[in-house]
Amino acid sequence: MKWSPREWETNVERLVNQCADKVILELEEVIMAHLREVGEAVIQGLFQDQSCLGLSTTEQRVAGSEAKQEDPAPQVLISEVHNACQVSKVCDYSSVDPTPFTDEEILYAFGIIKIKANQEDNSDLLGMEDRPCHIVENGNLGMLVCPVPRKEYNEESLHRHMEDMAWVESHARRHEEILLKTMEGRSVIPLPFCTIFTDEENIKRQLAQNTEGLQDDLQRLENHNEMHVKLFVDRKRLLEKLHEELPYSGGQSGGGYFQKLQWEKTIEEEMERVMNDYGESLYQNLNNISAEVSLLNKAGVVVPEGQQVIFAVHYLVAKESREEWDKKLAKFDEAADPLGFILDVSGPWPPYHFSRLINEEETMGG
Amino acid sequence: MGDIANSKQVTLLAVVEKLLDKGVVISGDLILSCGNVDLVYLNLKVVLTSVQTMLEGNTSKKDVNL
Repeated sequence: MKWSPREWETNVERLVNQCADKVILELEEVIMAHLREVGEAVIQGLFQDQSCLGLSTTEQRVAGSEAKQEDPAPQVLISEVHNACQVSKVCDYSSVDPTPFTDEEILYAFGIIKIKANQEDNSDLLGMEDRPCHIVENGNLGMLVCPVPRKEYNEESLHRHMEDMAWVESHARRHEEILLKTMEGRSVIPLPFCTIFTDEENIKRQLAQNTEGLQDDLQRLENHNEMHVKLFVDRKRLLEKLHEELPYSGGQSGGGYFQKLQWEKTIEEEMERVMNDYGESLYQNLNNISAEVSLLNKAGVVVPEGQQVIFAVHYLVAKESREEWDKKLAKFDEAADPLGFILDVSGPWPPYHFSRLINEEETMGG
Repeated sequence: MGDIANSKQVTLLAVVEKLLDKGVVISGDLILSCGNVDLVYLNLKVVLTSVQTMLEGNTSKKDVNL
Protein backbone atom coordinates (compact mmCIF):
# COMPACT_ATOMS: atom_id res chain seq x y z
CA MET A 1 0.00 0.00 0.00
CA LYS A 2 1.42 3.29 -1.15
CA TRP A 3 0.73 6.47 0.64
CA SER A 4 2.46 9.66 1.37
CA PRO A 5 2.24 11.29 4.77
CA ARG A 6 1.39 14.64 3.17
CA GLU A 7 -1.67 13.23 1.32
CA TRP A 8 -2.84 11.47 4.47
CA GLU A 9 -2.48 14.65 6.43
CA THR A 10 -4.56 16.64 3.92
CA ASN A 11 -7.27 14.00 3.90
CA VAL A 12 -7.52 13.96 7.65
CA GLU A 13 -7.65 17.73 7.80
CA ARG A 14 -10.46 17.84 5.22
CA LEU A 15 -12.48 15.25 7.09
CA VAL A 16 -12.03 17.02 10.40
CA ASN A 17 -13.11 20.30 8.88
CA GLN A 18 -16.23 18.74 7.35
CA CYS A 19 -17.14 17.17 10.66
CA ALA A 20 -16.52 20.36 12.57
CA ASP A 21 -18.71 22.37 10.21
CA LYS A 22 -21.52 19.88 10.54
CA VAL A 23 -21.27 19.77 14.31
CA ILE A 24 -21.25 23.55 14.55
CA LEU A 25 -24.28 23.83 12.27
CA GLU A 26 -26.19 21.29 14.30
CA LEU A 27 -25.24 22.98 17.56
CA GLU A 28 -26.31 26.35 16.18
CA GLU A 29 -29.70 24.98 15.26
CA VAL A 30 -30.21 23.48 18.73
CA ILE A 31 -29.15 26.69 20.45
CA MET A 32 -31.39 28.87 18.30
CA ALA A 33 -34.40 26.63 18.87
CA HIS A 34 -33.80 26.75 22.59
CA LEU A 35 -33.42 30.54 22.61
CA ARG A 36 -36.63 31.01 20.62
CA GLU A 37 -38.49 28.84 23.12
CA VAL A 38 -37.18 30.71 26.18
CA GLY A 39 -37.70 34.09 24.53
CA GLU A 40 -41.34 33.35 23.80
CA ALA A 41 -41.96 32.21 27.35
CA VAL A 42 -40.35 35.34 28.78
CA ILE A 43 -42.28 37.67 26.53
CA GLN A 44 -45.53 35.93 27.36
CA GLY A 45 -44.71 36.16 31.05
CA LEU A 46 -43.99 39.84 30.71
CA PHE A 47 -47.31 40.55 29.07
CA GLN A 48 -49.10 38.66 31.83
CA ASP A 49 -47.20 40.59 34.51
CA GLN A 50 -48.11 43.86 32.92
CA SER A 51 -51.77 43.04 32.81
CA CYS A 52 -51.65 42.09 36.52
CA LEU A 53 -49.73 45.08 37.76
CA GLY A 54 -51.30 47.53 35.37
CA LEU A 55 -47.94 49.04 34.58
CA SER A 56 -47.67 51.11 31.48
CA THR A 57 -43.93 51.48 31.33
CA THR A 58 -42.43 50.76 27.95
CA GLU A 59 -38.99 50.04 29.26
CA GLN A 60 -40.08 46.60 30.28
CA ARG A 61 -40.87 45.50 26.75
CA VAL A 62 -37.27 44.76 25.94
CA ALA A 63 -35.57 41.71 24.63
CA GLY A 64 -36.41 38.57 26.55
CA SER A 65 -32.98 37.88 27.98
CA GLU A 66 -32.79 41.30 29.56
CA ALA A 67 -36.34 41.40 30.73
CA LYS A 68 -35.85 38.13 32.51
CA GLN A 69 -33.79 39.96 35.14
CA GLU A 70 -36.60 42.37 35.91
CA ASP A 71 -37.91 42.26 39.46
CA PRO A 72 -41.32 43.80 40.07
CA ALA A 73 -40.66 44.29 43.82
CA PRO A 74 -39.25 47.84 43.68
CA GLN A 75 -42.44 49.03 42.02
CA VAL A 76 -44.57 48.15 45.04
CA LEU A 77 -42.15 49.21 47.74
CA ILE A 78 -44.19 51.83 49.52
CA SER A 79 -47.54 51.33 47.88
CA GLU A 80 -48.97 49.76 51.00
CA VAL A 81 -49.03 53.02 52.94
CA HIS A 82 -52.43 53.26 54.58
CA ASN A 83 -53.54 56.65 53.46
CA ALA A 84 -54.73 56.69 49.88
CA CYS A 85 -53.51 60.21 49.24
CA GLN A 86 -50.12 59.15 50.46
CA VAL A 87 -49.86 56.45 47.88
CA SER A 88 -50.10 58.93 45.09
CA LYS A 89 -47.69 61.17 46.89
CA VAL A 90 -45.18 58.41 47.44
CA CYS A 91 -45.38 57.37 43.82
CA ASP A 92 -44.38 60.86 42.86
CA TYR A 93 -40.91 60.35 44.20
CA SER A 94 -39.90 58.38 41.17
CA SER A 95 -40.66 61.40 39.03
CA VAL A 96 -38.45 64.45 38.84
CA ASP A 97 -40.37 66.37 41.51
CA PRO A 98 -37.62 67.98 43.57
CA THR A 99 -39.65 68.11 46.79
CA PRO A 100 -37.17 69.01 49.47
CA PHE A 101 -36.57 66.64 52.36
CA THR A 102 -39.22 64.07 51.43
CA ASP A 103 -37.01 62.12 49.09
CA GLU A 104 -34.33 61.26 51.61
CA GLU A 105 -35.88 61.84 54.99
CA ILE A 106 -39.20 61.39 56.71
CA LEU A 107 -40.29 62.24 60.23
CA TYR A 108 -40.46 59.88 63.19
CA ALA A 109 -43.00 61.21 65.70
CA PHE A 110 -42.76 60.73 69.48
CA GLY A 111 -45.62 62.67 71.02
CA ILE A 112 -47.85 65.73 71.11
CA ILE A 113 -47.26 68.64 73.46
CA LYS A 114 -48.62 72.06 74.18
CA ILE A 115 -46.52 74.96 72.92
CA LYS A 116 -45.62 77.33 75.70
CA ALA A 117 -44.47 80.92 75.41
CA ASN A 118 -41.10 80.31 77.04
CA GLN A 119 -40.34 77.40 74.75
CA GLU A 120 -37.12 75.59 75.51
CA ASP A 121 -34.94 74.23 72.75
CA ASN A 122 -35.38 70.53 72.02
CA SER A 123 -32.39 70.08 69.79
CA ASP A 124 -30.41 68.56 72.66
CA LEU A 125 -32.80 65.60 72.61
CA LEU A 126 -31.35 62.95 70.34
CA GLY A 127 -34.02 60.81 68.72
CA MET A 128 -33.80 57.84 66.40
CA GLU A 129 -30.36 57.30 64.84
CA ASP A 130 -29.12 60.04 67.21
CA ARG A 131 -30.77 62.72 65.09
CA PRO A 132 -31.73 65.90 66.95
CA CYS A 133 -35.43 66.32 67.71
CA HIS A 134 -37.49 69.36 66.86
CA ILE A 135 -41.09 70.44 67.26
CA VAL A 136 -43.52 70.87 64.40
CA GLU A 137 -45.98 73.51 65.51
CA ASN A 138 -49.56 74.19 64.60
CA GLY A 139 -51.29 76.83 66.69
CA ASN A 140 -50.57 76.03 70.32
CA LEU A 141 -50.01 72.33 69.65
CA GLY A 142 -46.73 70.78 68.70
CA MET A 143 -45.44 67.37 67.70
CA LEU A 144 -42.01 66.23 68.76
CA VAL A 145 -40.28 64.60 65.80
CA CYS A 146 -36.87 63.72 64.47
CA PRO A 147 -35.84 63.20 60.84
CA VAL A 148 -35.01 59.63 59.82
CA PRO A 149 -33.79 58.15 56.54
CA ARG A 150 -36.68 57.06 54.34
CA LYS A 151 -34.99 53.86 53.26
CA GLU A 152 -34.75 52.65 56.86
CA TYR A 153 -38.28 53.59 57.83
CA ASN A 154 -40.47 52.60 54.92
CA GLU A 155 -42.99 49.82 55.39
CA GLU A 156 -40.72 47.11 54.08
CA SER A 157 -37.75 48.13 56.23
CA LEU A 158 -39.91 48.43 59.34
CA HIS A 159 -41.25 44.95 58.78
CA ARG A 160 -37.68 43.69 58.54
CA HIS A 161 -36.69 45.60 61.70
CA MET A 162 -39.59 44.10 63.67
CA GLU A 163 -37.97 40.70 63.26
CA ASP A 164 -34.78 42.00 64.80
CA MET A 165 -35.31 42.13 68.55
CA ALA A 166 -32.09 44.06 69.11
CA TRP A 167 -33.40 46.82 66.81
CA VAL A 168 -36.80 46.79 68.50
CA GLU A 169 -35.21 46.98 71.93
CA SER A 170 -32.83 49.84 71.22
CA HIS A 171 -35.43 51.87 69.33
CA ALA A 172 -38.30 51.20 71.73
CA ARG A 173 -36.09 52.28 74.61
CA ARG A 174 -35.05 55.42 72.76
CA HIS A 175 -38.71 56.21 72.02
CA GLU A 176 -39.56 55.86 75.68
CA GLU A 177 -36.50 57.80 76.84
CA ILE A 178 -37.45 60.78 74.67
CA LEU A 179 -41.02 60.74 76.01
CA LEU A 180 -39.80 60.53 79.60
CA LYS A 181 -37.48 63.48 79.10
CA THR A 182 -40.20 65.47 77.37
CA MET A 183 -42.75 64.89 80.13
CA GLU A 184 -40.43 66.31 82.78
CA GLY A 185 -41.56 69.84 82.14
CA ARG A 186 -44.99 69.45 80.56
CA SER A 187 -47.75 67.01 79.72
CA VAL A 188 -47.35 64.91 76.62
CA ILE A 189 -49.63 62.67 74.61
CA PRO A 190 -47.43 59.75 73.60
CA LEU A 191 -47.68 58.30 70.11
CA PRO A 192 -47.27 54.58 69.37
CA PHE A 193 -43.91 53.10 68.39
CA CYS A 194 -42.92 53.81 64.77
CA THR A 195 -45.43 56.51 63.90
CA ILE A 196 -44.04 58.04 60.71
CA PHE A 197 -45.02 61.18 58.81
CA THR A 198 -43.80 61.93 55.32
CA ASP A 199 -43.68 65.71 55.81
CA GLU A 200 -44.42 68.54 58.19
CA GLU A 201 -47.55 69.60 56.32
CA ASN A 202 -49.24 66.28 57.14
CA ILE A 203 -48.42 66.73 60.81
CA LYS A 204 -49.84 70.24 60.85
CA ARG A 205 -52.99 69.04 59.10
CA GLN A 206 -53.45 66.20 61.61
CA LEU A 207 -52.92 68.56 64.55
CA ALA A 208 -55.40 71.02 63.08
CA GLN A 209 -58.05 68.34 62.50
CA ASN A 210 -57.84 67.08 66.10
CA THR A 211 -57.12 70.34 67.90
CA GLU A 212 -60.07 70.23 70.27
CA GLY A 213 -59.62 66.65 71.45
CA LEU A 214 -55.89 67.03 71.84
CA GLN A 215 -56.18 70.24 73.83
CA ASP A 216 -58.76 68.66 76.16
CA ASP A 217 -56.48 65.70 76.66
CA LEU A 218 -53.43 67.80 77.40
CA GLN A 219 -55.46 69.88 79.84
CA ARG A 220 -56.71 66.78 81.63
CA LEU A 221 -53.30 65.12 81.75
CA GLU A 222 -51.52 68.23 82.99
CA ASN A 223 -49.71 67.44 86.25
CA HIS A 224 -50.68 63.78 86.12
CA ASN A 225 -48.59 60.66 85.64
CA GLU A 226 -49.45 57.15 84.68
CA MET A 227 -48.46 54.46 87.18
CA HIS A 228 -48.59 50.72 86.63
CA VAL A 229 -49.28 48.35 89.50
CA LYS A 230 -49.25 44.58 89.36
CA LEU A 231 -49.84 42.39 92.36
CA PHE A 232 -48.66 38.78 92.29
CA VAL A 233 -48.70 36.10 94.93
CA ASP A 234 -46.38 33.20 95.48
CA ARG A 235 -49.01 30.59 96.34
CA LYS A 236 -46.50 28.20 97.86
CA ARG A 237 -45.16 30.83 100.25
CA LEU A 238 -48.60 32.03 101.25
CA LEU A 239 -49.72 28.44 101.85
CA GLU A 240 -46.67 27.77 104.05
CA LYS A 241 -47.34 30.96 105.98
CA LEU A 242 -50.95 29.98 106.58
CA HIS A 243 -49.87 26.52 107.72
CA GLU A 244 -47.52 28.16 110.21
CA GLU A 245 -50.24 30.41 111.53
CA LEU A 246 -52.91 27.72 111.66
CA PRO A 247 -51.08 24.47 112.37
CA TYR A 248 -53.00 21.21 112.02
CA SER A 249 -53.64 19.69 115.38
CA GLY A 250 -55.78 16.62 114.61
CA GLY A 251 -54.78 12.98 114.30
CA GLN A 252 -52.65 11.60 111.47
CA SER A 253 -54.13 8.14 110.88
CA GLY A 254 -57.53 6.51 110.41
CA GLY A 255 -60.31 9.12 110.61
CA GLY A 256 -57.56 11.68 111.10
CA TYR A 257 -56.59 11.31 107.45
CA PHE A 258 -59.93 12.65 106.26
CA GLN A 259 -59.85 15.23 108.97
CA LYS A 260 -56.52 16.40 107.58
CA LEU A 261 -57.86 16.50 104.03
CA GLN A 262 -60.70 18.67 105.29
CA TRP A 263 -58.18 20.88 107.03
CA GLU A 264 -56.14 21.29 103.82
CA LYS A 265 -59.32 22.40 102.07
CA THR A 266 -60.03 24.95 104.78
CA ILE A 267 -56.52 26.33 104.42
CA GLU A 268 -56.95 26.61 100.63
CA GLU A 269 -60.17 28.55 101.14
CA GLU A 270 -58.47 30.78 103.65
CA MET A 271 -55.73 31.45 101.11
CA GLU A 272 -58.24 32.53 98.46
CA ARG A 273 -59.86 34.83 101.01
CA VAL A 274 -56.53 36.42 102.00
CA MET A 275 -55.62 36.94 98.34
CA ASN A 276 -58.94 38.60 97.59
CA ASP A 277 -58.88 40.76 100.70
CA TYR A 278 -55.36 42.04 100.17
CA GLY A 279 -55.91 42.60 96.44
CA GLU A 280 -59.20 44.39 96.93
CA SER A 281 -57.89 46.64 99.72
CA LEU A 282 -54.80 47.72 97.77
CA TYR A 283 -56.80 48.31 94.60
CA GLN A 284 -59.36 50.44 96.42
CA ASN A 285 -56.76 52.33 98.45
CA LEU A 286 -54.92 53.38 95.32
CA ASN A 287 -58.14 53.98 93.46
CA ASN A 288 -59.19 56.52 96.08
CA ILE A 289 -56.22 58.77 95.39
CA SER A 290 -56.12 58.35 91.60
CA ALA A 291 -57.79 60.46 88.98
CA GLU A 292 -58.54 57.59 86.61
CA VAL A 293 -58.15 53.83 86.63
CA SER A 294 -57.86 51.21 83.94
CA LEU A 295 -58.00 47.58 84.96
CA LEU A 296 -56.08 45.15 82.77
CA ASN A 297 -57.20 41.77 81.63
CA LYS A 298 -55.32 39.29 83.81
CA ALA A 299 -55.00 36.86 80.92
CA GLY A 300 -52.65 39.24 79.12
CA VAL A 301 -50.25 39.68 82.04
CA VAL A 302 -46.93 37.86 81.93
CA VAL A 303 -46.69 36.00 85.22
CA PRO A 304 -43.36 34.88 86.66
CA GLU A 305 -42.96 31.16 87.26
CA GLY A 306 -44.63 29.93 90.45
CA GLN A 307 -46.69 33.08 90.93
CA GLN A 308 -50.26 34.05 90.31
CA VAL A 309 -51.49 37.48 89.27
CA ILE A 310 -54.09 39.08 91.53
CA PHE A 311 -54.57 42.27 89.57
CA ALA A 312 -52.85 44.54 87.09
CA VAL A 313 -53.96 48.16 86.91
CA HIS A 314 -52.95 51.43 85.28
CA TYR A 315 -53.63 54.46 87.45
CA LEU A 316 -53.57 58.10 86.47
CA VAL A 317 -52.20 59.88 89.52
CA ALA A 318 -51.95 63.60 90.17
CA LYS A 319 -48.41 64.72 90.94
CA GLU A 320 -49.46 66.17 94.28
CA SER A 321 -50.83 62.75 95.35
CA ARG A 322 -47.54 61.02 94.74
CA GLU A 323 -46.36 61.24 98.33
CA GLU A 324 -49.53 59.66 99.65
CA TRP A 325 -49.34 57.09 96.86
CA ASP A 326 -45.82 56.04 97.81
CA LYS A 327 -46.77 55.85 101.47
CA LYS A 328 -49.75 53.57 100.79
CA LEU A 329 -47.66 51.28 98.63
CA ALA A 330 -44.88 51.05 101.19
CA LYS A 331 -47.38 50.28 103.94
CA PHE A 332 -49.00 47.54 101.88
CA ASP A 333 -45.65 46.03 100.92
CA GLU A 334 -44.56 45.93 104.52
CA ALA A 335 -47.64 43.98 105.57
CA ALA A 336 -48.05 41.78 102.49
CA ASP A 337 -44.47 40.92 101.56
CA PRO A 338 -43.95 38.38 104.39
CA LEU A 339 -47.11 36.59 103.27
CA GLY A 340 -45.71 36.00 99.79
CA PHE A 341 -47.29 38.91 97.94
CA ILE A 342 -45.10 40.46 95.28
CA LEU A 343 -45.79 44.05 94.35
CA ASP A 344 -44.56 45.30 90.99
CA VAL A 345 -44.90 49.05 90.59
CA SER A 346 -43.52 51.07 87.73
CA GLY A 347 -43.78 54.69 86.68
CA PRO A 348 -44.22 57.53 86.32
CA TRP A 349 -44.91 56.88 82.64
CA PRO A 350 -46.22 59.13 79.93
CA PRO A 351 -50.02 58.68 79.93
CA TYR A 352 -50.05 55.92 77.31
CA HIS A 353 -53.41 54.60 78.45
CA PHE A 354 -55.28 57.72 79.44
CA SER A 355 -55.74 59.70 76.31
CA ARG A 356 -59.46 60.10 75.69
CA LEU A 357 -59.01 59.60 71.95
CA ILE A 358 -57.28 56.30 72.53
CA ASN A 359 -60.08 55.12 74.80
CA GLU A 360 -62.71 56.08 72.29
CA GLU A 361 -60.85 54.15 69.65
CA GLU A 362 -60.68 51.07 71.88
CA THR A 363 -64.37 51.25 72.71
CA MET A 364 -65.20 51.59 69.07
CA GLY A 365 -63.03 48.62 68.27
CA GLY A 366 -64.97 46.58 70.86
CA MET B 1 -40.54 44.67 95.40
CA GLY B 2 -40.84 41.90 92.88
CA ASP B 3 -37.94 40.25 91.15
CA ILE B 4 -39.77 40.70 87.89
CA ALA B 5 -38.44 44.25 87.57
CA ASN B 6 -34.90 42.93 87.61
CA SER B 7 -35.28 40.93 84.46
CA LYS B 8 -34.27 43.02 81.50
CA GLN B 9 -36.40 41.03 79.10
CA VAL B 10 -39.56 41.47 81.09
CA THR B 11 -38.88 45.18 81.30
CA LEU B 12 -38.51 45.22 77.54
CA LEU B 13 -41.87 43.53 77.32
CA ALA B 14 -43.31 46.24 79.55
CA VAL B 15 -41.79 48.93 77.33
CA VAL B 16 -43.04 47.33 74.16
CA GLU B 17 -46.51 46.71 75.60
CA LYS B 18 -46.91 50.42 76.22
CA LEU B 19 -45.48 51.56 72.92
CA LEU B 20 -47.44 49.11 70.81
CA ASP B 21 -50.79 49.95 72.32
CA LYS B 22 -53.39 49.54 69.63
CA GLY B 23 -55.18 52.81 70.31
CA VAL B 24 -54.15 55.65 68.04
CA VAL B 25 -54.45 59.32 68.96
CA ILE B 26 -53.32 60.58 65.62
CA SER B 27 -52.61 58.26 62.78
CA GLY B 28 -49.25 58.67 61.10
CA ASP B 29 -48.71 58.41 57.36
CA LEU B 30 -47.12 55.11 58.18
CA ILE B 31 -47.83 53.09 61.31
CA LEU B 32 -46.96 49.57 62.34
CA SER B 33 -49.47 47.14 60.91
CA CYS B 34 -51.19 44.62 63.18
CA GLY B 35 -49.07 41.96 61.53
CA ASN B 36 -45.88 43.73 62.57
CA VAL B 37 -47.13 44.22 66.11
CA ASP B 38 -47.96 40.51 66.34
CA LEU B 39 -44.52 39.71 64.97
CA VAL B 40 -42.86 41.67 67.79
CA TYR B 41 -44.95 39.91 70.43
CA LEU B 42 -44.16 36.56 68.87
CA ASN B 43 -40.42 37.25 68.88
CA LEU B 44 -40.59 38.57 72.44
CA LYS B 45 -42.35 35.40 73.50
CA VAL B 46 -39.53 33.35 72.02
CA VAL B 47 -36.96 35.48 73.88
CA LEU B 48 -38.91 35.26 77.13
CA THR B 49 -39.36 31.51 76.85
CA SER B 50 -35.64 31.00 76.39
CA VAL B 51 -34.93 33.30 79.35
CA GLN B 52 -37.43 31.37 81.43
CA THR B 53 -35.67 28.13 80.55
CA MET B 54 -32.37 29.73 81.52
CA LEU B 55 -33.79 30.93 84.83
CA GLU B 56 -35.20 27.53 85.57
CA GLY B 57 -31.74 26.11 84.98
CA ASN B 58 -30.31 28.60 87.48
CA THR B 59 -32.98 27.81 90.05
CA SER B 60 -32.25 24.11 89.97
CA LYS B 61 -28.56 24.89 90.41
CA LYS B 62 -29.39 27.02 93.42
CA ASP B 63 -31.40 24.19 94.92
CA VAL B 64 -28.45 21.88 94.60
CA ASN B 65 -26.21 24.38 96.38
CA LEU B 66 -28.65 24.76 99.22
